[in-house]
Amino acid sequence: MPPNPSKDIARQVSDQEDEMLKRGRTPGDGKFGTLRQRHIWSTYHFVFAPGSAIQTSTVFLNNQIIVPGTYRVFRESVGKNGQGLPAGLMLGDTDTNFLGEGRMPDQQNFAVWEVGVTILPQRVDVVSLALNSRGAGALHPDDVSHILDEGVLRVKYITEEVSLGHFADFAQPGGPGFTVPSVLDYSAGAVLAGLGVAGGQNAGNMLGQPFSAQIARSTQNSGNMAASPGTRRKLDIPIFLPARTQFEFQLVFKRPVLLRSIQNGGTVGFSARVDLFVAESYRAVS
Amino acid sequence: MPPKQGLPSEIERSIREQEQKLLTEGMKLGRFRRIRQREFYSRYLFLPGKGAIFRAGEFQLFTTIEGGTGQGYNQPLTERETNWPQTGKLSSQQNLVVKALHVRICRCPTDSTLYPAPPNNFNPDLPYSAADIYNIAYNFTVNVKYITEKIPYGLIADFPAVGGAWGFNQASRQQPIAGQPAPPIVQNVGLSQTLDLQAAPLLQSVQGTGNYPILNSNVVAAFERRFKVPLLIQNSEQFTVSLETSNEWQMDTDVANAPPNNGILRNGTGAFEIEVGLWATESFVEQS
Repeated sequence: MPPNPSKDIARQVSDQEDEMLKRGRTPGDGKFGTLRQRHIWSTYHFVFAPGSAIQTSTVFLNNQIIVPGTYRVFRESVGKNGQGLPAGLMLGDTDTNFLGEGRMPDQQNFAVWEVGVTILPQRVDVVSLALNSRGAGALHPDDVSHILDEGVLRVKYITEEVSLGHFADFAQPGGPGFTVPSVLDYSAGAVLAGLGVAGGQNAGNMLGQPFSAQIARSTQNSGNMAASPGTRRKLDIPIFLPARTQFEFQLVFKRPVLLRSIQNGGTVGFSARVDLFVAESYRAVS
Repeated sequence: MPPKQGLPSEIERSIREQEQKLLTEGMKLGRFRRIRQREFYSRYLFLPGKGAIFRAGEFQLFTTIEGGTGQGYNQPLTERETNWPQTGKLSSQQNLVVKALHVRICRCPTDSTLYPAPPNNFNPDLPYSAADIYNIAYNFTVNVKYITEKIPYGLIADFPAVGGAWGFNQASRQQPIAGQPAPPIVQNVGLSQTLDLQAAPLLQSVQGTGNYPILNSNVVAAFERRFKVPLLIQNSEQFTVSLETSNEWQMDTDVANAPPNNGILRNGTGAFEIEVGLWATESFVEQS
């Protein structure tokens, strides 16, 4: 007699149900049969209290400080608050695509071949919470320089913490190009090269005219060195993250870091994105 | 008779064997089975003061670990300054194959507790002047030292740092003044001159543009100095790196007649911080 397909399917379903309910095992052959490569990222948002006093004697306000501490990423997933975001704001797809919240999901394994840290402008909705006191847009290169030299990137497992290097050692690919900086005054419609003294079509010499904030912004970069993918830091020995492994990456500041006030080109906050380029095996469950 | 309490016999036997090995042979560590890659780094803080003459000398790195004092810092070192595990040598639980070396002229730390009095001799808020960068890069040799052997590997300039902020080297940190003679093509474009000494009105970004950092050459990771013949460091091997200068040179100083306490208009930092970084493959045995 030919096999009864309905009975066979029914038996398979029953077996899988047994496996799952009694033994907690995933239905199916359990193998991580699918491979792909992609970026996995998570972002921490450093948000500072807006300053109040305008300082002309120093570019730094006392409260523009990165407080020494350990700031953890890959802890929260999309739709959650956390990782530095002010209350009421949620992590979005551009903040993270990691599903695990402090550990690898059951259905994925990662072999991490590249690690990157990039310093980014803060989110616009974060700026909106204190519109007159925070700066949207590109960070001041001075601040980026400090952050890259001061921050240490760590990976932590259950009890093991491993410092991988400073932020500067791990540039991410891409990022905006940086034009030749100009200190010319754009406020009077001056052309890029060849300015006259005050007045006339080419108004705005480099000095004798107040600089507009446009100039500071137009000459700023937006982050750390924009390594092309072929030239970024690659690991000869990947970091292995099997399914269910507890792990997190940490952004560590051991000393206070002074950043620029908004009056002197600072932004009163920034984001730091940790990006992993991984080979991923996974099993789909339907 | 009640069942015997205790660990399973196999585990008990394993524990006894480990005890035996440790007490009679001094061997606890097994094989170096685990392997990974990361940066090992050590920093030195130099505090000569603004305008000071930097004297010839040799400065040792990888000799102070986290929590220790030394290497120019007034406070115990933290993970920010070093992640080297043992003073003057590699720990007994690691072996390193050093694939690349870089030397970074870091921005001065802004932690004021690191600087001795008088405070006006230093301004860590400023980026370095180009003159100081040049002197640092070309007046120090980088030596690798073992017990008695000291090998000069190159100048600081030969080992550009990886990463760093983007696009600084083109920015001028000087401001032109009005009234300079115009080049033939353009009209009255100010030429480079010393920094504006006038106290600036509020919300002037002129201070910002005048102080764009000039840093040492930064490279992407793929272009850092890599060794075809890696530097091999065995567990427990004595190893340090030193920075040595035999020339005297002068730190940049403040612009004359600058208003007091107007730090952003000053040129010199009076201090600088150097990091030597080793990108290495590490085999290790971890204790639990």
